[in-house]
Amino acid sequence: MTDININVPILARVEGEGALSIAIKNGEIETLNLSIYEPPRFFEKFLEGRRYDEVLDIVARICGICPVAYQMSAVQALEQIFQCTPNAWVRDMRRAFYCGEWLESHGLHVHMLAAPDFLGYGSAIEMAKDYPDEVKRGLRLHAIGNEILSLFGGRAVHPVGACVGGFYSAPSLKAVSDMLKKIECSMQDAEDLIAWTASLPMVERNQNFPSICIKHAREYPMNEGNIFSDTPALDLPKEHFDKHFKEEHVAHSTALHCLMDGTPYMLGPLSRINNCLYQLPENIQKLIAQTGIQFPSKNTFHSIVARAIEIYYALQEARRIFSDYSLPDESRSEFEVQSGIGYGCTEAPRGMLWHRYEVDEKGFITSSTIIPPTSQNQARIESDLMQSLHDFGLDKDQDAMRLHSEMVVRNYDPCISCSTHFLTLNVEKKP
Amino acid sequence: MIKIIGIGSPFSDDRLGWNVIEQLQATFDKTKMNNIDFLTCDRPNMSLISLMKGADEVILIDAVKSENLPGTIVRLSPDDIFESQILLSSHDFGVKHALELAHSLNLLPKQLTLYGIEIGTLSYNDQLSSDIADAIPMLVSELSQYINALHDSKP
Repeated sequence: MTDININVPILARVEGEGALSIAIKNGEIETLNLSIYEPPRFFEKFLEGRRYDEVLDIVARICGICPVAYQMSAVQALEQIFQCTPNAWVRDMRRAFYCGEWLESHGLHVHMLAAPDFLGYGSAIEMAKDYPDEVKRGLRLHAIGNEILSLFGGRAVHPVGACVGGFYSAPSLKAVSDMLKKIECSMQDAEDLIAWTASLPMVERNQNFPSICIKHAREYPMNEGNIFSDTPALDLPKEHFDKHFKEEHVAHSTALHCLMDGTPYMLGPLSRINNCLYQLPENIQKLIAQTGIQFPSKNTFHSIVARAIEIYYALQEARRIFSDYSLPDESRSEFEVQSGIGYGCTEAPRGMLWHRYEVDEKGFITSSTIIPPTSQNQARIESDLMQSLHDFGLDKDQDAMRLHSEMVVRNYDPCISCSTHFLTLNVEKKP
Repeated sequence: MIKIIGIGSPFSDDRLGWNVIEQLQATFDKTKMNNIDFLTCDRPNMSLISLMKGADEVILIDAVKSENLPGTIVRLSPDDIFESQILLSSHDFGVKHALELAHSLNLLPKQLTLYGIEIGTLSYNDQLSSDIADAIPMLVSELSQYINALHDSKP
């Protein structure tokens, strides 16, 4: 049987740089390496020596798609160090802020990145000719997410409104009222999206993986909670992350692989739905039941449906928060700078994002650790590719295998911003 | 309604779109130009489509990279952009992709022109290189004349 080497030297349009190489020998995958070179490692060093009030602006620069996640994990850690408990207004508005990011990121991924894979198009631009209404819906949902980000952050890209203790300023009553009207107008889009994603041609897969996310007693995972795994069962405080989760170097990647007790695991919307569907509002649970998809699901391609569900949830949650909006006495809580170690763990659109900071008595960062969801998902993506390509058929032509590999990788939304064709493939056949 | 949109990150020569907008805004009495909207944005991706919404004419200003000398000003129509192999802007899902998507969805304005200034190797600071600093006033002058001509031609 012909030996096949699939080498993808550059994963273009990745937040960071990546490559994929697969070697097939005697009808079996001999090696399969996904390498994503994550920039956050440099940011950990950039942060050392910076004062606490510079941290949020710096970490927002790690990712153009999910800056709020980086800000919210960092602020949680710093407030733990300074023993600062933000007021109820701040807590609510941070959740609304985060909803904006989920909308923006998920809206982009579902319509522009993932849907063309399911429908057999090379890009959203091609898909738009046959599915203009769906692509326009994606633009609308993406835009409303950006507007919520701008409401709190001053701008949608690398927002600057959040600070330790809360926000530098509170949005006006009129701005929130206007936003509420726009959210209301988007509800039908989001409801339709769930049924649409569930109707997409779906590849059947049944894989075994731990679904991991944070979990909170009273709300769907987003801003805070314990670290939770379904199987093996795990429920631990964020401070104990490194007792079970270890990063390790692998030869083929400059990014660290993170494993839970030696096992790859899955983060992101599918894991959150798998673990916490019961925390969604009843009307959303009914819609999910109507799709016919059974959650928890071990078909990773159901991630696109999970993202659609979370879009609807984020809209409803933002509406709930804004419906009771009033101007606060203070948009940020007071605190005293002190030395210490703090931890932050929140749910970025693409999964759990863990931070740890050490601060000296003057408020300067002496060390930081940032473990983004993409590096945590990396080992799982490789496992998925291994199983998916076997299920797909290693005897298929190489273009088809490449496209399927792309679909599998993209399905995790691994900080691959705005990509439609991110694998440029060189195939070498050995006689 | 005309929208003039400067695109770029705030660093080095990539911020030239912002500088052009700042200088244009300083040139005009905004109260007499209520049909012109000046905007700046940092890597708008798909949001460029919603930024263009409502405009009959859009003028985009961005850094470009091709084979020209740094500081060269280029003017591109949508067709030029779609056919061009030059790297339009330094951003990934860049201006070209956003405009192609808008074109697929019939969301392009009636008239659209991209004014680009060729950039060289970017440095990691917030200063403009001399080539770009010299080119910006020329582009501002050209755009000012164009806008004034439009304004004067109105009854």
